[in-house]
Amino acid sequence: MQGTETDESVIRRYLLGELPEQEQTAVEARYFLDDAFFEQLVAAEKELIGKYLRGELGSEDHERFQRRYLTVGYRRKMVESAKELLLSGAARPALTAGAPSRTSWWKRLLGR
Amino acid sequence: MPTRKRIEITFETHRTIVVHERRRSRTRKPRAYKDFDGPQPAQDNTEPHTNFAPQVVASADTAITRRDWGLTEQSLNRLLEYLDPDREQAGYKYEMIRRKLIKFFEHRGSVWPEDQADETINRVARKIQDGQDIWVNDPAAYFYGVGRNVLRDQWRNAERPIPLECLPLAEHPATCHVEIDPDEAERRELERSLEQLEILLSTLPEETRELITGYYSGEKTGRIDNRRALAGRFGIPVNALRIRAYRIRERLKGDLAEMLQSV
Repeated sequence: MQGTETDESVIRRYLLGELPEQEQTAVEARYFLDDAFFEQLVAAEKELIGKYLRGELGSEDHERFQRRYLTVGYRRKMVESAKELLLSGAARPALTAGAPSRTSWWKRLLGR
Repeated sequence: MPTRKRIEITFETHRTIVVHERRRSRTRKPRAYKDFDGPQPAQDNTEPHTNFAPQVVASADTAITRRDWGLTEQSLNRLLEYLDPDREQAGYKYEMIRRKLIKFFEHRGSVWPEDQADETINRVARKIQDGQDIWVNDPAAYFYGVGRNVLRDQWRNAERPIPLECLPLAEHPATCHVEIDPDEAERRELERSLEQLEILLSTLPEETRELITGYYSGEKTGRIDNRRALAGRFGIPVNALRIRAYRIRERLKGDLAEMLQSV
C-alpha cells in the first residue's frame, strides 16, 4: 500500500479489485483490526454502488465495477438490492426475459 | 434423523443471533453427505448493537448434527469468553468479526460468504475448545488468518461432486452441438459474448479457470485424453470432473447473461 495514498483511495481500489494481492491483504488485515476503517469501507462500498447506479462513475471505474460486482452472484445481489431501493416507487426498467442461449458461443470457444 | 437444535444468543436489545445454522439457497443442491432441515436463521449483517448482554437461550448440550464439527452451547460460551471477559463486549466483537469475515469472503469472490464466515468461526471455536493456544494480540487477526485458510480450502474443493446418477437426465453435462448461424448480427453478438466471457474467466480463481478451460480444450479424442489427464491432475474421477465443469459452465452462463443485459 502506498504511503501517500489516502484511505479513501485505497478503499476504492480495493473495492474495484485493483490492488495487488499484497496490498489487498494489507487492507483486509487492517479492517479486521480497525473497526472504524471497516465501517469506512462499508460506507464507501455503498457510496460506490450508488454512484454506479446513478451513472456517476467514470468509464474506467464503470467497467471495473461491472467486472467486479456484476460477475459474482453475491455482489450482484447487493447491486440489485440497492437498485430496488433506488427505484422504489418508480417503474422498474424492463429486463430481457430469460437468459439468451449461449450455447453457440460456447461451441465457438471450444473450437478455438 | 435427530431434530437439529439451534444455539441462540439473545441480547437485551431483544435481537437474537442464531449461530451456525447454515444458510442454504433454495437453488443450491444439498451436499451428498448431509441435508439441513429447519427454518432459515434471521439475516444478521447490520450495524452492531449498543447494548449486549447475551443470554444463551437454547439449552442444547449436543452438537449441531453435522458431519463436520458443530458449535455447541459450551463451545460458543468459550468462544465468547475468548473474545472478551465482558459478555456484552464479547457479543459485539462476535458480530463485528462475523461482518468482517462476510465482507472478506464477498470480496474474495466466495459464492457463500456467510457460510464461509460461519465455517471460519466454527474452526476457531473448535481450536479454543480443543485447548489450542492462540498467540495473537487481537482475536480478529486470528479469525482473518483462519478465514484465509477457509477460502483456500473452498477453492480447492470448489465443486463437491454428487453422483452422476443422482442428477436428472436433463441435467447430465453434455457438450452442446448447436451449430452457429453465420448471420452477421449473431456473429457480432458472439464476439461481444466472448469478450465478456474472457473478462469472467479472468475473475475466476486460477484453479477453477484451469479446470474449465482445460476441460473444453482439444478436439474429439484429444479432448477425452485432456479430460482424463485433467482429472488426474485434480485427483478426482472423470465423472466428478465432468460435474464440476458443468456447474462452472452453468454459473458462467448465468453470469454472462447478466453481464450482457447490463452492458
